[in-house]
Amino acid sequence: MSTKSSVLFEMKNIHKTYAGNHVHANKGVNLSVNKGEIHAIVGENGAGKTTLMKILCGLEHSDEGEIRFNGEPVMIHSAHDADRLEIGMVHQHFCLFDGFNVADNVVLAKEPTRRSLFYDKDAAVRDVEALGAKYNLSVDPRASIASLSVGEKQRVEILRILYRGSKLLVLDEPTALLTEQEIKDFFVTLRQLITLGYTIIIITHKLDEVLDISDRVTVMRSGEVVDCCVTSDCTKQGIARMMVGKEVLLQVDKPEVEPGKPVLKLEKLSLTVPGYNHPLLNEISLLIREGEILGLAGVAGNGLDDLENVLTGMNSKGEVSGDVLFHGENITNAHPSKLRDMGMAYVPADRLERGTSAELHLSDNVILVEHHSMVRAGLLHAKGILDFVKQRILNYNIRGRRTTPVGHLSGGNIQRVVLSREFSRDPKLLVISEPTWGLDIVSSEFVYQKIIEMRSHRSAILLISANLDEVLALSDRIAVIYRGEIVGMFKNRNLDRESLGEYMLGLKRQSTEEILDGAEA
Amino acid sequence: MSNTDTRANQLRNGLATFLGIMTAVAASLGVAVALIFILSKDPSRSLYYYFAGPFMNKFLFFNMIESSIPIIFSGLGIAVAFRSGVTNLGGEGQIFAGAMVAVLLGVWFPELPGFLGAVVILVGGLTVGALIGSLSGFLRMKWNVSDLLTTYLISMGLVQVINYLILGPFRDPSKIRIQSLSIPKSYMLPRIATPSYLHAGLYIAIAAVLVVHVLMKHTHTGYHLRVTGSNRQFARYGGINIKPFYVLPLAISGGLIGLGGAVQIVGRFQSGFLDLTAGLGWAGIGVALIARRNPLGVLPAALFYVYLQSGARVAMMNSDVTYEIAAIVTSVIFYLITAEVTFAFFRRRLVK
Repeated sequence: MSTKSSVLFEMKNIHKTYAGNHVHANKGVNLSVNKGEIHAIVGENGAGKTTLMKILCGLEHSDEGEIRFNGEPVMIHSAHDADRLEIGMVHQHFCLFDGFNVADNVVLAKEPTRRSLFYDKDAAVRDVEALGAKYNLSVDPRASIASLSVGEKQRVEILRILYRGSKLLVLDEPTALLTEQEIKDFFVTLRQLITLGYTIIIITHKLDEVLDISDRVTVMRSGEVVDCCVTSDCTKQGIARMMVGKEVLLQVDKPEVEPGKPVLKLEKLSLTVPGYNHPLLNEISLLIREGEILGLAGVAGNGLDDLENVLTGMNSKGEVSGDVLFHGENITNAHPSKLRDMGMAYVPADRLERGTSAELHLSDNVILVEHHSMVRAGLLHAKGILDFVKQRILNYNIRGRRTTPVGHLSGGNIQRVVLSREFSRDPKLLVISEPTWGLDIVSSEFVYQKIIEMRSHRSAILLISANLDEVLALSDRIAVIYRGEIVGMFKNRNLDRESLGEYMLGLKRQSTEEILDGAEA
Repeated sequence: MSNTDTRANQLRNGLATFLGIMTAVAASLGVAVALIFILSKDPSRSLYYYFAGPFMNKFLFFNMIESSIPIIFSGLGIAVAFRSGVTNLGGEGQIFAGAMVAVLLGVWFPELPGFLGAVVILVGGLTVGALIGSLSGFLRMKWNVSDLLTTYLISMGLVQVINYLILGPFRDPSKIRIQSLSIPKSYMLPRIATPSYLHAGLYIAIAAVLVVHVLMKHTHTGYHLRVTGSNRQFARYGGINIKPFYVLPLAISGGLIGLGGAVQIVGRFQSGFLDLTAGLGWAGIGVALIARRNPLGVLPAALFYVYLQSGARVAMMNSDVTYEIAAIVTSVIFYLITAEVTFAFFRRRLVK
């Protein structure tokens, strides 16, 4: 115990590229974790944290690189290999079986048996009770999973990996859904586990928690490790700076456009969903004018996707209050068909499940909103559709044919299909969410150029994005959202990643007056 | 990188599907031949009757075509359902109900001019099938009850109820065989290849295939059905009101299958009898899968299906092929043709 820094494992020069969308998720990452420490890995969305941990746990395979465990080189090909090395992971989204009770879930795949044949339910309950008492993680072993709170489910997940004998616990965003009190209890448990000789890796982007709980912290940014340091030597600002980086790489040429009449106005828009301890959207007020791009920046999980859904008529949960005015007309909770009739176009973050239909032909995907006007004598006008689709394929340089199922296209081409449809009707209002997520540079630049074109055509544009570079490069004004609230409103002049990052991570917020001034500006 | 590249891929994709079907057919015929060689004492005779049987004379050939008629209807109905993202396992009940309503209408309105009588009966069969289908669609829309379960359960109940109607209230007491009352002879569709049973219902079946093809491919509604069927979230996002799209596809599906039942009465049987459907509803599922959910594909798929059936029947009459052997051969062929594996194999090889 006295030799504090005995290394448990090292990952060296880990490379990983996802074949599907050519995202280089890990670019030569090095990570070293000591026995008995709590090691935090922080970084923005898409920094490569989860990928790295999945490689460690055998759920993904690295293209290159080496893992040494206790000094020995090891190959981790599967979750089973990780299990043998006593590595256990709790995923961000819990993987529990609702139909079974707590004990069943904990002992799954390592069930105690009677006469080495029958599942011994009583023994399972006893084991889980004992385990819970030992680690101070009490959950009723007979309770059904569906009846548990989020905090309790988390305990079940941890009990599960402890039951399997894991000594290294990897926790991916463990506090994302917990209440303040649950987080406190959770941290007590983690500290206790450390005293019992466990090692813990915690992935997070909440900096307060990093400072509170971790011994060392590794900061990642766009697939690389920026730094690894002892937590007590760090400040929040220092870590935040490393996370978001300094340089703005992206340059997009924007012509001058004088903003015109207001198009979309949000007045105290809130979304409350039962089961969450705070509103997912909290009194959001915004204004977007003709020929203007308003960027909405934030870390995922702070309400970006909720706002996207509420504005576009795709929200299916909770209760919406406040007003959304589109050209003065109240469109709160309106059906997408009405919004489209009024001239809203929408490029969704989820372009595979929402923005396109994978099994339908490219042509069928492109005419989704246009087909109403393509009827002749009761039938769809084949020639008209043909010309229309050909034109789109040409203008948006889509590498595919009319009859190619969209699911067979590459990510960049799928996004071009979406843009070719959404940008085709001179929209008055454009809601664009995560437009370049997972795209390569060429496709991203194409997307940016088209968005700027729509601005020149005097569309009012709301750009929702967790990608700060993108928001900075495109927006005329920027709103920052944190925990469902607007915490900053800026004109996009002399802004940098660092200062916005502090707002995004909840380290700073403007006064209500400043925000309202910005909203009307 | 260019369009020519994707064009080549396009061709390869088509080729992969074609090769897939051909390989599946060849492999399954190979398995069939092997089975017959193992199980039959006189394999060459059995094989001859099995595969050439339906073509031996016009009578057998046209009867084979006739037997495809109800299967075209049920296959078509099920293809529409699958395309539209719903499941219809109620073919049996829908055929039977269509047939029973056909009988009742014929019995209750015996004085109509022949042509009008037939039309009334057909419309009746179509309507009742559509109503049964919509009931499942409504349950899905209103309370999210699985259409897979309700179509099946409603159908199984209906079969029993209709069997009872034939045994009891509507039994024809003058007949030795258990059967319902008969519809007037003047309502019967003309035979088109005597002495076989082949009747003008074939034209209705072909017309139905064409109508459904145009509906699905070239109309507004068909487009909505396909979009909603492939991805409901995408449909809503595009501004389509997706609410009706459980009821509508199941109504069309059930309607087509009910129409098939009515055609059986005015084309072939004239009266109803116990368990008239005899698996026609289930056969439709296999046919729709062979057709890869494509309405136009239902026609050749149904013919292929009845070819195997007729071959088995002829072989059973003329050689030592038993019912069991025939059933095994049919299932093997179906299994191989519907298996995605063969298609996936060629697609992996050919398409980049």
